[in-house]
Amino acid sequence: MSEPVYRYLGARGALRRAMVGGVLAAAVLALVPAVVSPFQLLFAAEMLIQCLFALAFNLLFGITGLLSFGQAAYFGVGGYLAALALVHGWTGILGVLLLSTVGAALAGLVLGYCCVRLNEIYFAMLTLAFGQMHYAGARQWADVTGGSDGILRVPRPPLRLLGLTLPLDTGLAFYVLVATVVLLTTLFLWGVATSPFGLMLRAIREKPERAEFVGIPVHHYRLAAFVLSAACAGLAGALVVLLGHTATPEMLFWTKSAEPVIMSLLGGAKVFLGPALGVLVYAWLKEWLSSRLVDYWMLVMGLIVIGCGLFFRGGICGALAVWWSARLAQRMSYVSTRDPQPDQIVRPDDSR
Amino acid sequence: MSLLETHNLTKSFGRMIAVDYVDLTIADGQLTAVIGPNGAGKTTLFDVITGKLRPTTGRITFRGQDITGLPSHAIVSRGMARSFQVTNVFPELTVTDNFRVAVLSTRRSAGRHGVRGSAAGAPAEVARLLREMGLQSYAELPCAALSHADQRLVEIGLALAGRPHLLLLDEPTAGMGPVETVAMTHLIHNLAHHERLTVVLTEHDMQVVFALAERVVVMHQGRIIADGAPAVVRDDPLVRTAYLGQ
Amino acid sequence: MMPADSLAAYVLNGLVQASCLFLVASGLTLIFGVLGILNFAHAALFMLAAYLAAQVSAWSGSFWVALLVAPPVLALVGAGLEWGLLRRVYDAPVAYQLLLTFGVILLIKDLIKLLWGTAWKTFSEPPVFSGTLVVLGRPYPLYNVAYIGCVLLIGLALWAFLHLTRTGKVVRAAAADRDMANAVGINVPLVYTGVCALGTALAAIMGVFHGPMMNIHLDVDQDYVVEAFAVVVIGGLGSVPGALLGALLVGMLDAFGILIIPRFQMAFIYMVMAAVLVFRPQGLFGMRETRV
Repeated sequence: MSEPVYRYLGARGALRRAMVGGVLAAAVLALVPAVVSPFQLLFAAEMLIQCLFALAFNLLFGITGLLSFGQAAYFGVGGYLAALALVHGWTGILGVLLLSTVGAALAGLVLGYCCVRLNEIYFAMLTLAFGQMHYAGARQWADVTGGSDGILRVPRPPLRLLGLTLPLDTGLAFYVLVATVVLLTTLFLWGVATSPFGLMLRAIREKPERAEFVGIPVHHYRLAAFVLSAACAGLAGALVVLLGHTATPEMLFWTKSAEPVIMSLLGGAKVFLGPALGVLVYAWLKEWLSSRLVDYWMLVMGLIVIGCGLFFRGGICGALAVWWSARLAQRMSYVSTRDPQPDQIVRPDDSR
Repeated sequence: MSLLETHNLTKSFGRMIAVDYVDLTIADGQLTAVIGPNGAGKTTLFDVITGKLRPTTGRITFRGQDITGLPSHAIVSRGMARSFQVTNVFPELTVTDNFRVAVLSTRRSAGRHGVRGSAAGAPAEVARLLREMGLQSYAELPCAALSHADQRLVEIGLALAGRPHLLLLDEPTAGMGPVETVAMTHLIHNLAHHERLTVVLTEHDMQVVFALAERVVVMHQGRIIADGAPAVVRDDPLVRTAYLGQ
Repeated sequence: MMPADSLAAYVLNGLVQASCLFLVASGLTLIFGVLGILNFAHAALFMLAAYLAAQVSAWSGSFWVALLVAPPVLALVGAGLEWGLLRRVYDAPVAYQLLLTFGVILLIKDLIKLLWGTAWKTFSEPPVFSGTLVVLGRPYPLYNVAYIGCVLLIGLALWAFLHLTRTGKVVRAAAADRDMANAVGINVPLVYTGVCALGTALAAIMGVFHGPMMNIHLDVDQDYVVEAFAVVVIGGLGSVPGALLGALLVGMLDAFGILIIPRFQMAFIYMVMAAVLVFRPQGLFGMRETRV
């Protein structure tokens, strides 16, 4: 057993974890501005956005078992929608975020409908094709998307909420917005993952045919997961555009789609927060390696990624789980042959 | 009223006819065994009835409704359940979660098609299944860690979760040793008579067939060649020829 | 209607692009057909070959020496990759194949950077192919036409190998049914390594020919990675004739797209790829059984 075993928590268990986790996360996130410079806060915000993107991806991959090579399409759709709205004078940030989320969700609905009927490799190839289609569209539809330059100088209007106007031009203010949105969305995704719906998605991941025969309409559930994943990816895209004031076609390129795949596998796809861990570890490693080994960092990173693929299939979380379960091995003794239990046998002298 | 009826049911793959104009009627409460040599079309028949394959021609009626061509999940939610010849459980989920999936899923559609739901909540249903299959001590283990025989029990448990009207068991004792086969036989008997489930099973183990079945249907090359009480079928010369070859 | 000489130029451009795509895609499709692996690092290997060819050409002053050296070296690299790494993810989910090959891409890119830096490289075509050819009154680089001809010959040789030699038939058998081939006594691991070597060699040939036509830089693989997959999908995973037809189709779309649908020609290729996957997943000549 090399993967962490999933145990359904039930509504109360999940809620408890959500509350504890949410409070802890909020505390950690609140501490970050105290220890880093305002410039680094923007970097922290970018990290959080990447975490959201990776978590959205993993809803589809780790939980539902669908490997999509094209989530960047929805990331980009959300980003470009936000950019276009802001550049054309929209001033409601929350409205813009909503627009991106819904727009990406609609794209996911239309494209996902074509994708979810295909099996593993063909699903992956089709999502790749759709992703590149979006990239090509963004690069060449210059009238709307600004072509290969993209959309520049996207404004970041102040947040208007409950009659207050909160300017977002400082690193701290924007970080707080990003942290809040990401935290809330993560809690929402946690709710989805731990709900009966999430349990059925996991069943679909394990054995789609058996799931069908237990009464689960597999295609519909897969589509629902696809749409949710696309929506959250779109939200992440909108945040990234607000962060960098630009929307570029590179947001939709296949290498951008590959990022959450790598991060999820590095961190551990079977654990809910695994992808977030993967994002943070990858970023930290990249930072550390490129400062120490300026010319060799890609080499070492490549070796680490390969090593992960060969020996640590469960990622960091998987490796930790193996270590932990090795310590618990004695408590789980299992006898492989059993005698029939008394209460399930009908004695031969009973009615027949 | 009969629970399940097939009319002129045919399934062909190109020029190969796997199920050949089968007319089968299953009455409520019967325990039927479908037997036949390898390649007779038993599993394909199951596949077509449960919606895994579309019939080439013919109709299937279940509880008075035409279910021909419906997707499997729709058929299952109408009260039919099936277990597979090759064990088909959710390996990385715990036993409890396996049952939970099945219970939650069928409760979703209970009442919509007049499927018997139980008044108890989902956790109670899951506990009942664990008890009935005798798997309480392995409840929190991932299914992949269980022995083959225990996984077959989970398989049957999954099929029972929705309190189906009709249970189709595809070679339930496949791959089991003698002790486990006896236990499974008792379990199926219990289900058929104490739970009043209508059971149709395919089997190669003749001892199981003759211990359980009230009615035996023999298939050969896609067609039904004999249908009746076990003792009668056993002595039918056509059946002998089919099994011993031409 | 366009004048014939311009049309000829477009057709030739399309054929050149098709030739490049065929060399990359045929290797990719063979590797998928036989090993069942989607090798994302394939295009990076062609890039490595291009750099190596530039180096060899600089040392020896000859294009032909580069053509003789680069493909075998890359074939060894490909074989080594299969033996050391890819072997372990044959039956693993596609995600791990991506992870592994992504790591390989990083390795190759860094290797190139270390050995040759980030400067753009180029080298010249062999003197016998230099100059221009007059096609319908217009000058056209002789090298490009020669390239098309060479790729045609290679395609024929590949077909002959796969259909007329015993080894080739073994490869096709292994592609059709891996387990059966093993059961019949074919040394499947050796076949796998061989196919990987062959596929990589084909990509390497492309890398060598590519050099005189375009600059070589660290992102040159990006142009081909996904387009090669598009060709493989359209032609059918595992089919070399499919790769040829797919390459022709995509190459021509690349060349003529600018005329017909100027703003969306890039997207159109991927739309075709998507349409094939939705309506006919096994492509034009697909070999692998698809279970939807």
